[in-house]
Amino acid sequence: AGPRLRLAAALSFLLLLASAQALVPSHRLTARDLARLRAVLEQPFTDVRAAYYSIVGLSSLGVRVADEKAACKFIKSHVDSSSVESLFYAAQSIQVLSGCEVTISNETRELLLAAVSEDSSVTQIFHAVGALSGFGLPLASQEALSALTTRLSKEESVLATIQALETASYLSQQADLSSIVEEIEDLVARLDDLGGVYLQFEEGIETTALFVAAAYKLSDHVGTEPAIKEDQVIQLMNAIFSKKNFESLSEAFSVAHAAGSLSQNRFHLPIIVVPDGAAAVSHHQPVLRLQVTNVMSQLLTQVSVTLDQAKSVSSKATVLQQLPFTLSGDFFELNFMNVKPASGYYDFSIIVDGDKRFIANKVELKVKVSTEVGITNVDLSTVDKDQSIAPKTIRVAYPAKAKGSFTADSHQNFALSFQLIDVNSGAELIPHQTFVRLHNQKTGQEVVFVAEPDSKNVYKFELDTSERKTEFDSASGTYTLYLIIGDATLENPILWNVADVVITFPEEDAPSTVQSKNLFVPKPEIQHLFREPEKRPPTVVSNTFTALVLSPLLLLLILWIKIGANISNFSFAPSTIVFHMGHAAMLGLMYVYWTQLNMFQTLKYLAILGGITFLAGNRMLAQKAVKR
Amino acid sequence: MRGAGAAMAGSVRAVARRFLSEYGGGTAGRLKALDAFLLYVLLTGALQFGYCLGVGTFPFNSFLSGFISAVGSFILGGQCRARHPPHGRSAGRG
Repeated sequence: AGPRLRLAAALSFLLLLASAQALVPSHRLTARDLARLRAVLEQPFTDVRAAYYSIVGLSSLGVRVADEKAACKFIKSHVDSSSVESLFYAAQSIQVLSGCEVTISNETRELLLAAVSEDSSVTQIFHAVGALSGFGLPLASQEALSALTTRLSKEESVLATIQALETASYLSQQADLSSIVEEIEDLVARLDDLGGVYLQFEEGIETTALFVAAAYKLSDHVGTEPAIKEDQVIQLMNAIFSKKNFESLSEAFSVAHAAGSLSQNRFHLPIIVVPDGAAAVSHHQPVLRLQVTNVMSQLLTQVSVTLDQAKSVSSKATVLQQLPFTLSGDFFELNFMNVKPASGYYDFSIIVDGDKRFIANKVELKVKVSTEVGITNVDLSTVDKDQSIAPKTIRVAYPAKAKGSFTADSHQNFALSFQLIDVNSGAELIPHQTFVRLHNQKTGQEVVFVAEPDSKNVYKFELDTSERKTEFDSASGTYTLYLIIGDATLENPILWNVADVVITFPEEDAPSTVQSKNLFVPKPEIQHLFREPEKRPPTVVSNTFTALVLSPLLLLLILWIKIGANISNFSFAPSTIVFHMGHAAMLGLMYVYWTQLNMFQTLKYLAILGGITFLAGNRMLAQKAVKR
Repeated sequence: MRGAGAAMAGSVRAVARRFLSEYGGGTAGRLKALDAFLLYVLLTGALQFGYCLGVGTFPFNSFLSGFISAVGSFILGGQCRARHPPHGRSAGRG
């Protein structure tokens, strides 16, 4: 496991501690998963190995092979008596099939016994011991154990250790298997913790599932509880049963084998509490129904299910305590509406008892209590702004619509007030959504406001045309008023056309037409501006200047001739020639640099040429000095 | 005043003429050749600079290389001349 993974695991573990919740299985084999697994395992056999996976895998799930006689015949005809591995698969399959007998020749027996030695690999020892045990042949457990331990100290791989565990489960209990049993703990330490939810080997799900099966097989055999903690078992479960599609028959076999182990061993039985449908109760459906299953979705009914505590999420008050569920058919039931809970969410702590082996038997469930809402005391009124005229109030009953229409303009405001109650208990309700929607019949505009409750839980809404003209875009006209009430815990959300309101805005603000804002039209195209090239002087100017700059050279030559400078003293000594050639070469290099080379190449050549020229020049000047 | 200006111009001309004759006679041929080279470099650099001021700095890299090489050559040439003063003065030696 990398250090980064360990850090993530440590952080998530701290978070887990902070939330202080017991780990709950997140994955199991549902009925559909089982069907898929069975479909994979029930494929026709291709060879003895495939037959082994199918037969033993199905038996782990508690399913018998369809045609046992045909399977038996297949194995007998396809087994390779010279291969220890083939014999292992045959032996284990025959053990599962009923009425399948096979005779083992002496040579085969010798072959198998010879394979149990320190010179064979752990896998070979495992197959040989398994085959001998499957065929019912006698086996020297102590020798097998010593061969196994010696080999195991040399082979450190996870798979070898798992196979050693399973091998030990075939050996006699009189042999001292404790050293092998200790390997379980070492293997657990090698598991990778993924987010605190999954625990698996980096080799994959198949290896993890084989480990679980082998660990419980050995523990059942020796009678000691495996060194796997409760949380770790759940994490292993989550990892193994998270795989829903099986890439190979061996993978399907390993998952089936692990499922079989976890539903039938002497020490740890993970259980899962499954609510019937969504965990929700209401007056129509007052009973909370649960099922208790093992990892293979087999129902457990010989258990007792108790509600430890039911707490309201919003008020944190405990509503129920220590109430047992009653078993009715396959379900455990509890009538929660008996205590007349207010609508909302409740945290249920449920404990399943009945067997010491149960793990994950303390479950937290979030239960929703729904109810129906009723609107009462709905008053519509037009309130005069100057307060000179008394407001006209009209009461409307849901679901009728108010007769006549109301006006809201610069002199009058429109007001709406109502109350929401729980129809069943009469208590006041504050749902999440209480909207007032005004819909313009002509233009199709709609504006939605939120109605707020005051201190006495009476909802009020007031429409002031001068305050709200921006929302309406100052479009006057007849608006239909709807009241929208909704909440997750309401069974009857309400959309009620309450009345018609004629809204008139002051004329000077009215727009010519109301345009629907279309956000999805193409925007104006952006033209890319290329970088403009620098302004250059006209060619005439630069040509003139080039000639001008070369003219001092002419002047120099004239002056030199006038002064009488000459090269009559030029001695053709080698160093002189070399110096001048080198100098000329350096100037030539400059030209080549300009046309072809890059800096690094130039510097390289310059170093060589410069070195030669410098030495030659030095020599030349020294000679000249000597001459003088 | 015109008179003073004319006198000054006349004196400048006289100084220049004197300088040129002293220079022509007193300096060795070798130094004169070196001086001619220095004058050439100076003119080349000055012309490039003048172009840049007048016409524009495009292409700037060419101006830089030309001008700096002119300046460098002038400095090195000047150093060379300073080590060979006229009339055997010891300035510049050592």
